[in-house]
Amino acid sequence: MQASELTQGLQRLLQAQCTPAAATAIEQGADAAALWQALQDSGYADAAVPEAAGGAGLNLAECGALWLEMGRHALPLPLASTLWIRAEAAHHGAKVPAGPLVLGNDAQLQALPNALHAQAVLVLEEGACVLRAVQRRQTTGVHGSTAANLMAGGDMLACWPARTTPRQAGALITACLMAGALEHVLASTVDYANTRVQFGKPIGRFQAIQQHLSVMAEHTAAARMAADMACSSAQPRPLQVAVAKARCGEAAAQVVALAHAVHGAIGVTAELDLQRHTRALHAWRTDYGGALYWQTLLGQAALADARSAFDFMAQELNPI
Amino acid sequence: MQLSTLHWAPLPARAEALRQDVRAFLAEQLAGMPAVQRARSWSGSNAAFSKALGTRGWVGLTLPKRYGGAELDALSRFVVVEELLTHGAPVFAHWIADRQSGPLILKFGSEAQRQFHLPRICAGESQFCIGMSEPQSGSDLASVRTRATRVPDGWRLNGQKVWTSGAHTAHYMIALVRSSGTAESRHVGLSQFIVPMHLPGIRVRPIQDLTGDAHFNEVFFDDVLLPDDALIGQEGEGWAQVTAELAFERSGPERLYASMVLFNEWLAHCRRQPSDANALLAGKLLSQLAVLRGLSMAVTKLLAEGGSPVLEAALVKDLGTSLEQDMPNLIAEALAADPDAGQDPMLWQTMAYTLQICPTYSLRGGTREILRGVVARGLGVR
Repeated sequence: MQASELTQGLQRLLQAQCTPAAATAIEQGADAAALWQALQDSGYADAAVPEAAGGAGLNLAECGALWLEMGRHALPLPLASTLWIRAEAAHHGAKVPAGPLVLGNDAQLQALPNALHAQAVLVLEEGACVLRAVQRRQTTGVHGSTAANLMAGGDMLACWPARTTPRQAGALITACLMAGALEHVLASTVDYANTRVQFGKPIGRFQAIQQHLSVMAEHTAAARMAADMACSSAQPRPLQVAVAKARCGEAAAQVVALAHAVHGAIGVTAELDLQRHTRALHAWRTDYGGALYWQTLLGQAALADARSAFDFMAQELNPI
Repeated sequence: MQLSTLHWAPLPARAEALRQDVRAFLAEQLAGMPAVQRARSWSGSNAAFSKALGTRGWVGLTLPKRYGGAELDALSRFVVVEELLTHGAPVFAHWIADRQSGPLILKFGSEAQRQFHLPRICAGESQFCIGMSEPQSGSDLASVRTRATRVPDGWRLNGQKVWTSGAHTAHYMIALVRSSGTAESRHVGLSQFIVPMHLPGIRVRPIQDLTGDAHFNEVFFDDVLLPDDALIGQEGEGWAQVTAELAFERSGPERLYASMVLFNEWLAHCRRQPSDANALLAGKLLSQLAVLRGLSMAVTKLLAEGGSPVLEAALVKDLGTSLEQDMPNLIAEALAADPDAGQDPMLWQTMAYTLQICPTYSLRGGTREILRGVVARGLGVR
């Protein structure tokens, strides 16, 4: 999952279009049509659609690199899920409408990330992925959130067998977004520690701050590796998705707390862009099942297995 | 300097190819050994086992063939070490020589030192210990006071080392001592010597630890006469050499599997009595472990490609030893969560031993607090 030209192109696009001011305005209810149009025109929504069907044919690892980049910018629009859904639909020969698409939490449609802007939602119905038009959406009441509660029962727009469930796809994508956002938060916090002066020197010179920064780096490296591993198979494998979502969630809890500790009061002001990423990280922790859900699922599989702890890990959790 | 990103890469087939042979060898060697003994993998010292391992060609795996090694890369050694540690093999008799003294002698030793020591290390017959810490010199290693003084045809050694694991059975110590200047000269004037442990004037006193074992020692040097060729590398270059040596010590899979025997025994126990709480804990530990293995493999890959991933190794070691310490703590709580359930005595002993010894995991090879300083500097904190 390494940066390619496509990733760098997305980075330039988001730097230009998804500025802190633009993203904040969307979070506060401004019209998102212009930013969405720019994203759509860039072609990234079709990045994983096979080349024969007019896309760029990216594999899962390459998609992972794009999702990391979206996480670094805390993009408040559902480009990551649209990319996934359009690729799956194309693989199954299904047609889907242009426009923002979101992943349901299987059949559960509450607090779906970026769903305020969704035109359609992918849900799990009797073992199949069903794309349904969004009829009504309701804000969650959470400050600055573009998540929404959707009402079930819109028209069916497309349907295909669920080789990956919407929840699994959502968890994998969210893990990648988190890993990217964590890298951004770590870099911002190191910068702050190098520039903020107290007691006559940058606070990064104090051992207490250095300990915080290195714990942040450790968890960030772990989150990145977890996302990397889950994107290393051709198709997502449920137990590897479980590892990624659980580990990124644990990392986010630690890193967000330490980033705010290092920043002090300025970090919790609306003025500083840090809070946009830390709020997103907290939301992502709970989207598509939190760490406890995925750890329990993983543990149940391990307890039902007969292999040693090492073999179960090396053969099921580490991609081969 | 910046930390590099650690990417997932599976082990190459040539490395994985070793696994089944090592596993079959261990099944034979470790048959009937109780879990509480296998949990002592690091400190378990068994000369016959290490020699048998050397006979199979699995000690000094990365050393050149002309010195008796297998000339394989660090990822092949990764597989062998994974098998040894996850099965709880008694590795101590060859451990230090294999992990750091052998590579150190290859890198800095004279041709005569290489030809003498490396074949014996590869045979699993030569035991080394590391003379770094002193009573007044722990994390602040540059403050060592043990002194080597020039005499005709050699050096006279006086001073004291402490916390020297395996000094009571080792044939040689690689000691970091002061050969010029004073303790205030810090990194300047330090040298490394290969000290034969049978020389007159050396006294070794074991120190009993909190588990009842005595794996580390005090070592006293009283006018010990060392030959000229005891010096390894350049006189006065000891600090640079020891930094390179610590990079060997901090990388590799040995920093995530210290509690693996306990984890495996506990998992087997849970399979007999599954519960939601146990599933949750098993999933938590497995997810953390799988990611750490990926990180550890990535550091080893950087090493195999000729890099010197000092910072990345420090980061992974701190994260790894934290999990190694969480495991016995969380498993102890899980076992005690149901006071009405009977306990398996062997699992209980293994848990208690691991819980008692686990504070050492984040002391040996650089304390957690020192490593975090290394990582912070790597992040570019100025």
